[in-house]
Amino acid sequence: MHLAALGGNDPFGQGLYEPLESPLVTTPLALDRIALAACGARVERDRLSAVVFTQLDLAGEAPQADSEAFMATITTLYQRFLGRDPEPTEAEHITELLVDDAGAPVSASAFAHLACFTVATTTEFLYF
Amino acid sequence: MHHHSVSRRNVLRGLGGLGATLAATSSPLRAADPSSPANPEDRKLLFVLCATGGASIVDSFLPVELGEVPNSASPQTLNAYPGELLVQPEGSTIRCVRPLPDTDFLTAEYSIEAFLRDHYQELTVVCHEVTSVNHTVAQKRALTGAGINRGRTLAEAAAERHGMGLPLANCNMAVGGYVEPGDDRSLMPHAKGEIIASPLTYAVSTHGSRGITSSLAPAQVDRARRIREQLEVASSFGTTYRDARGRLEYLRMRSEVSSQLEEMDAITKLMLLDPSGVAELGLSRSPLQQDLYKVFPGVLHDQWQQQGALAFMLAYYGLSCANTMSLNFNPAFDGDALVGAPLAFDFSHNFHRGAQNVMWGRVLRVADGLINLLKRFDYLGDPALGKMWDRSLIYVATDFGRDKTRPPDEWNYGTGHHLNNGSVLLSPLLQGNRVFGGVDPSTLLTHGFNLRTGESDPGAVLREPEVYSLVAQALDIDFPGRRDLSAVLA
Repeated sequence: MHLAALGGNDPFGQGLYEPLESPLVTTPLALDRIALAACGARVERDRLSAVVFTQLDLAGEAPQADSEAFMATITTLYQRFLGRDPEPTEAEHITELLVDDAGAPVSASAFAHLACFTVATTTEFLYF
Repeated sequence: MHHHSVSRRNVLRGLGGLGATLAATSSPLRAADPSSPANPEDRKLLFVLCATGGASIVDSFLPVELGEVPNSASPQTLNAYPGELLVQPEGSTIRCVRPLPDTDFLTAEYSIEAFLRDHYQELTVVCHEVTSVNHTVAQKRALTGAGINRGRTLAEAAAERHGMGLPLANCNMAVGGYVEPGDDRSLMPHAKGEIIASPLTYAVSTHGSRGITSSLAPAQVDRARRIREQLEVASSFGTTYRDARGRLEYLRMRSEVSSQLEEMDAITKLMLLDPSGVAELGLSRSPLQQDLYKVFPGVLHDQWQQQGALAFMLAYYGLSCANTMSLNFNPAFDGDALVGAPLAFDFSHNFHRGAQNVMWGRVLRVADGLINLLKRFDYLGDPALGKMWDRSLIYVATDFGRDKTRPPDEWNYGTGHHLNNGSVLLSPLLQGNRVFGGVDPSTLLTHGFNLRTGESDPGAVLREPEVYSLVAQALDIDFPGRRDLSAVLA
């Protein structure tokens, strides 16, 4: 395992005394990596003692789109990342994460991981 | 706006400082797209090697022999060298300082002499002064020509001219004034500098998911990304800030450039790390890795060599056309040997000749490696495009010169900063094996040349704008006010 500086600047190490005007080309990729890694770590920890994904059986299948567990889970994610509840249209989009490209149900852990990653990398989370 | 807003902005700004573990899976390499918007046939490649701290031209390729200094000028008080320490390789019109017999606790890893012997035919020295002896200010002026081109750095100008369609057109691994962006706000987005803090691990910055330990399949991540784009449109935030410039630019980078980097498999192409450390994460080494390990044997521990290796890969694979590298002010070791002086060339304050001799060797070591690679490899791996060297220019930028005087008959002494100096350029696009300008042996001050004829002119003073114009002209970069330095071109 290596500790990697994901693009960007190391202001102290490189002596860059003023912040850059805009994000770098690799900034979105760096954010994806961080969110993907962090959300995955959260899911694994929640298998032992649930903190975020308390309404999911992480050893089982993803919840139904109309289930209380689904709404409770994405509401938790929206509250934690964006400080608000999801709009109905947003919830509807996120139901697409309950299945894969072939339409087959995914596991609850995969849904938790993907939903967390998706909300955490929206520009609303980054900029607002 | 809720209470997380400030920290989130800060996270965005300072992302590069965040650490994360890497990982990923290998995939087949693809050839660079020859139909990228900027025609690769005409593309020029710029490599800027920044000799941080003040690399003195009279301590490298324009030395004065003690016997050449008039007695009236007190040779024992000038930084002139004994004849036995100077050498002019056969065929070279340029002479240089040999490896010094005593560099105290500094260890030379390469010599100016070895470089000149191998590369005199492509070496051009341009004598000039600078306009600042403040490190940071002088560094930036060395790259912007003191602002002659609307404040654009040479790398920015080269990237705008040649880098359209390249995802990382302008990469900057440097420090201090050399890493600062230019000042032209009209610069096209693709030409802005991509700052690289860690060349050794930079490859992982070019992919959003590979190498991260996860049970998710790539298709699942792609699906999540598609749904994320739907959320961007559906949210009140997305509606409210639909046309916000910063957000739009971020979304453009995410949807176009980031995906381009992933599709080009940059994470494999740029992978410098030893495969034993990354294979279990599903990552593969760069196809160039073995070649680079031979040319830059210290690449796993020496960041200066890492910069050279990464710059070559970025250029070879058509990811960038302008790369800026620099020494930093930290000492560098090879085992127990101190091969990079603390403060780099600025250690001349304490130990002028030893620091200059060792640090020039260190700079030229990477220049030598780059030239050898550029001469060996076809651009984009395509023989029809010719060797990379045919389209390359290496500009050895530095802050300023050093004092020309010394305490009488002293060997070990310190020097301050001096405006007077010269620059080294290496390129088949320039007249090589030639010094433009000259040096006055009675003062060790350099002078310029006639821009029209190229003839030495003791009354001529050139400064940063002329150096900038020369590089720009060689790279087919035009701008209002560019000086005509046709006399220096090949």
